[in-house]
Amino acid sequence: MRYLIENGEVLIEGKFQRKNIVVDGEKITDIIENNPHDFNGKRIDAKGQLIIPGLIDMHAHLREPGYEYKEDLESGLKAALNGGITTVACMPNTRPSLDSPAAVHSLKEKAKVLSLARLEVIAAATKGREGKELTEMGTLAQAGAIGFSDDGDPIWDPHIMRRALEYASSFHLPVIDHCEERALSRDGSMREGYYSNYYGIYGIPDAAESVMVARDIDLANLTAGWVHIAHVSTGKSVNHIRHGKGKRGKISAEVCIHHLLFTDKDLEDYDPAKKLNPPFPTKEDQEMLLEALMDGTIDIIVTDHAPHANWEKEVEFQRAPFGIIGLETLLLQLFKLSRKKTLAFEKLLEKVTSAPAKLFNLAGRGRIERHYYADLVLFDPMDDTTLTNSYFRSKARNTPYLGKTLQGKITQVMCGGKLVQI
Amino acid sequence: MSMVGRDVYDVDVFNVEEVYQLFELTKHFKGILSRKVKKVPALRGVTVCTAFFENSTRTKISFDLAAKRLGADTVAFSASSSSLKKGESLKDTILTLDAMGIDLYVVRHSEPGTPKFIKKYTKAIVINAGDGFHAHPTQALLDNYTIWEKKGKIDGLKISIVGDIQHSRVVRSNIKLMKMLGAEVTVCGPKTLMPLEIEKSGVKVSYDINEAIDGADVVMGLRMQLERQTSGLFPTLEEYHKLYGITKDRLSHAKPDVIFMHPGPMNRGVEVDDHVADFERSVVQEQVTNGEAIRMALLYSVLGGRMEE
Repeated sequence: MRYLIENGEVLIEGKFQRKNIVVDGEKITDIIENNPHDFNGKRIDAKGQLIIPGLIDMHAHLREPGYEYKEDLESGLKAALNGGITTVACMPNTRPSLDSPAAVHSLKEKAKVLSLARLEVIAAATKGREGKELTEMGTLAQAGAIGFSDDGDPIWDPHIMRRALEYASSFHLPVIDHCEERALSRDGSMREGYYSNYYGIYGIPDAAESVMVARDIDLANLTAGWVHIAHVSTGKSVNHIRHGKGKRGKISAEVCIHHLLFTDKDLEDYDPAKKLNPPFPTKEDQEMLLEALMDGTIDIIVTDHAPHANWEKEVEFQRAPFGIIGLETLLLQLFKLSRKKTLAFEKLLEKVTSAPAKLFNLAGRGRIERHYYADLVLFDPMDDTTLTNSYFRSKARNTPYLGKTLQGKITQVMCGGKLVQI
Repeated sequence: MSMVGRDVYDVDVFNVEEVYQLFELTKHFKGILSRKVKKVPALRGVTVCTAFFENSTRTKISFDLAAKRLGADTVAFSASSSSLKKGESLKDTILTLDAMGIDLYVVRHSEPGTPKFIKKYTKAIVINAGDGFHAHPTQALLDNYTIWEKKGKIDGLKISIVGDIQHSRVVRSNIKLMKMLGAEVTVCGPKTLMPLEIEKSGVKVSYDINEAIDGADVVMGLRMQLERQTSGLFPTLEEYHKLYGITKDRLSHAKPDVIFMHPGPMNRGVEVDDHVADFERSVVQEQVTNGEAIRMALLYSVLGGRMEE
């Protein structure tokens, strides 16, 4: 199928520009200035719309296999497309965990058959995510894994972390670490500080994250490995990352969208839908995260999409599991963030398009350019979206935005040259 | 503004004027409690449920009596006899209770935020009778009422609270209310039992009990639980008593008319010595009596009771 997407404002080289996009098959074949009188294919009028490369989310929990009551591959990938995310990377904390080449291979094959959003797989770094023995990283890479992580849990043993960094680096792949010193975070449910005291909720000190970030950075620089720090949430971690970059190792980092929009103060309603690990930062730390994002210390933005069943979340705050869904709100949240903090929307979009594509070598994605995949999102900034129960394609509803209205509306999503109908 | 229908999650649901309104009303009800017939029909036909998901004797009896003295019907729900042990969720428990026609819940729970959680599933009024370490608003009201009654004011008083600050909902609510009413509050205890950034609540922090008590109008002790020692927050109860025990000698550095308070139950020989526990200006028993009167005042105010008999 051929398309001409015309009259839209197209994100090219970090700027919205009035261009017309020609799509043929699964790729973008041309970007033109004029509106040809004759066009052999379907014309899409994108007047008043922003055209954004399909978003790339490098951190999501799709729960398959083992927790299909929370989410499965199909609902997760549909949710991604519904949110304008055309590439999503799933984390291996499933049951059993994604620690074998067969598991990675079969998940990728299943995603191909489903033909929804593109799936990338992050495989477990240690067998069974137990933190004891390395997985077959070489074979996992051949099966399509693009990184290794025990996410949900930290790689606690520093020696195993060292070996994981060494071993993974021979395939030029990252070890993605969920940095949390459990001996410090203990039973905490929110960031420790003035508000945890005010609300009477057990706190997690910021140092629970940053001590492990510091360790990982030193180990990456020792081994010349690549560590990718998952969901950075504290100012102390930001400082470690900023100082650790540019040495022997490769240091990259991500921030979860929710950490940029919520703070510890927001837990005054004890809403379990707002319970997240790592927990919401203080206002001061949130400013440091934004600054780090803008100066490149933090490379990308992710959702950390963490679906749970209602019955799991509709309990007392401290007893609820951690996690917020994000695939279907990411783009709206980015737009909200740009308006709230007067940050350039283009700059924020870079962190979910070209930046992750470059960081993780995702060929043909993250940009609107000739010969790139026609993964596109049409976004109307003047309209708005009410996040009703029926808006979501995910099985889960654990989001503080349920029932709320956010500015902006995704009007159409194209993935691999096909218009998405879900 | 009328307090009718107000949910009482913590003391900050009231403004200063309302707190003093409650105090005046408490004075009135305390008068009734000294009568031979301690009952008024102000809340006839109203059903109050004491929903206690955590063990408590005093607070539960106090609320139960307060409601009964106002002529309300009371039903008690306690976790030990409940279906919670059979795995029913709190949400379903409340939905079930609610179907029986409850007008007001008095809630005690080990988890912070539970009263707000319960409010999601009921139209009844919710009063917090203690949620985890978060809040215990009626305890703070009765403590401040007691101070007001004894000292004639709260504004400008120097109040020192000594003990396990970290694990105390009583302290959290008291700090909020005492600051609201203009007191100067000092908290004192080992740093391991002191919440991070507590000074941002507008209190003075001291790790030296002599310094903390010096010149105080009110000294409040807190219960020290043995499990705090076993979880490694301080080395021994003996050392705790040596460093932070409220003794007669230490209390002599407070103002001559100092009053001693404690939310109970007291551990003699740990946070207080015998002299202080039996001190002539200890108001510990009076706190209990005032607790009943203030709970009457609160139930009366939020349920819109009628005074005419």
